[in-house]
Amino acid sequence: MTGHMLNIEIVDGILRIEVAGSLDAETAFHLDQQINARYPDATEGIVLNLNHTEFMDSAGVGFVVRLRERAKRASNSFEIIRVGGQPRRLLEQIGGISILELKGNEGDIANA
Amino acid sequence: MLKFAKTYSPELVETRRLREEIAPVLEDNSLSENRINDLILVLVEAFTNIVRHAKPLPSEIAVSVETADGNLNITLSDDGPGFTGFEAAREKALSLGDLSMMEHGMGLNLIFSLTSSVSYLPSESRNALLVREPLPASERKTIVAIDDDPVGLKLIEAFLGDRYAVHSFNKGSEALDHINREHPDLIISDIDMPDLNGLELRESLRCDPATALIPFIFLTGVVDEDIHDEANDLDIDDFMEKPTSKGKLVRTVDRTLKRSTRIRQSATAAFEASVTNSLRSNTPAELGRFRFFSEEIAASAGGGDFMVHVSGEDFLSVVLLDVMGHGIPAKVFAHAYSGYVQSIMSLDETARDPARVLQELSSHVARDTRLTSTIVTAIAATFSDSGKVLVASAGHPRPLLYMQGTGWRPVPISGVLPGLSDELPETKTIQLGSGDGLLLFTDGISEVLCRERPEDALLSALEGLPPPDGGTLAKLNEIADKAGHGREQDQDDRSTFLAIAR
Repeated sequence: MTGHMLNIEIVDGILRIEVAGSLDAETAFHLDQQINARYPDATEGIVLNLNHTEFMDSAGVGFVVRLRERAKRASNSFEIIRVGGQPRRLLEQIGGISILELKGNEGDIANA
Repeated sequence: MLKFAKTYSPELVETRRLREEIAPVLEDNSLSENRINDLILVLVEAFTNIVRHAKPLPSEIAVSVETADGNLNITLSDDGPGFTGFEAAREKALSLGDLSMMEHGMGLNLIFSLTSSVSYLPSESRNALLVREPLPASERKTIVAIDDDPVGLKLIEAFLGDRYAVHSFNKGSEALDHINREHPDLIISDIDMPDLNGLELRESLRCDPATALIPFIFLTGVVDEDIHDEANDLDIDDFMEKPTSKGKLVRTVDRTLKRSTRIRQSATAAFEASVTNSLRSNTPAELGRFRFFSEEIAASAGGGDFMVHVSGEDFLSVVLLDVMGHGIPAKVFAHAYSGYVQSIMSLDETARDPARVLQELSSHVARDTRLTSTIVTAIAATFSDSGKVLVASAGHPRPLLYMQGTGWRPVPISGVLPGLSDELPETKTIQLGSGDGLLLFTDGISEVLCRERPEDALLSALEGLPPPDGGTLAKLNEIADKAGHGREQDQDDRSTFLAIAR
């Protein structure tokens, strides 16, 4: 599988996920599998870093929603940080900005 | 006209290749970045739906892009089973912003929401999804076509109308009026026409600097060699014989327009570099115990700042001038002002008196109607070996004075803009001792530091700093760099600083 890179780690009990490249139908399913295989148990929270995510489609949005549900089931926090470019525009267009915890803006990305 | 045609295997990994290959094609059609992203997303969603839901899978998925009638037509077709629920899905489609979209059918919803016109034609042999995207009208190059033969005009319109805005005329005189008024991007003209013939039309355009460089192509059925020679002597870009094919005409027009654009860009860049170079300030040399340091914070477009200095045996005079605006117009006017100022300061007697320098400048501006259309500010200062400094201002930001023990403060001086008065402006006399200093500057810094008054911005930046020297200016540059970080495109004006220390 190509088109993305995934970095997952737990820092201070928080599951931190960074996706670089594409978050689309080709990659989202594999990302789900990797995350569930490596960290099947609930964590204290989830932070999704999209600083280097260049493209997102509806399957990518589905991946984000599933992560949010996973956090919600465990009554834990879920944040998306450093989302810009096309992925941010898509999330804004579908109204996801209001229910997904987006932290960081274009400026944060520029300074990252 | 076909711009793009590729086939892809019905695999999700192919969506990335599609994105990479189609992006430059959409960029070539002057669509905004957001619009290009939307259209790419629509294609990826349609592609993904086929790969995920078509049973059996098609053997291939084809994508093509063509322009027709001012639209970009993007077609995604496949030879798999047709999707019969397209129109039903359109009726149920949710608009963007409806969050329930996130729960079901988001791909189709995005296709409907992000396109102004989309249709789907299922068929036994090949299904086709057609997205029609209107091209931005203002971005289309304009072509004037002149031919007394209506069939000839119709052919040009048919050959070029899908790519360019074609304005047709059957009379040379009417075309000439239009060209003089509208300045199209390219002209295609027949030669043998009643009224004003093509050669006369070209001669008329060639004599007017405003129209002489508009690319010009003759498209004619005239076969006379002498007329060909005469046409070639009129600085035309091409000579084509009728009949011609669509492909040949389109290629010729494309090549001519691209070459014209390249030449214009290259000439503009060379001219701008030359003017910018001529305005580059030279820092004055030392005068007795005075030391001078200058710094420019240049914006991408650059501005109309410049500094002129002259020196005599026991004095040094400086004028710092700022033409409002930016880019080439400001620089060209600054170049003209620079000539005036140097001429005024060539007389020692005048150069010693900053108020007289500005008074003379004001008289020149008032007399020159070309300069009265500009807004300019200037400050002049004369430094004497003894430490005495005379300062006069013409609507310029106040200089800042550094005195040992009291720190930085503005010099209370004002004056009207050059061209508005022929009275002698006021002169301030300052005595600078050892360790004192002065800072002259143009107001581009206020834009960089997002402060209304450059004086406030600078006083705040200079607070606690020692008297001016090269280090002070480096510090100012650093502050401006940080403040302007990420906003380079917004920063249009240039800032020039001259720090004087004793």
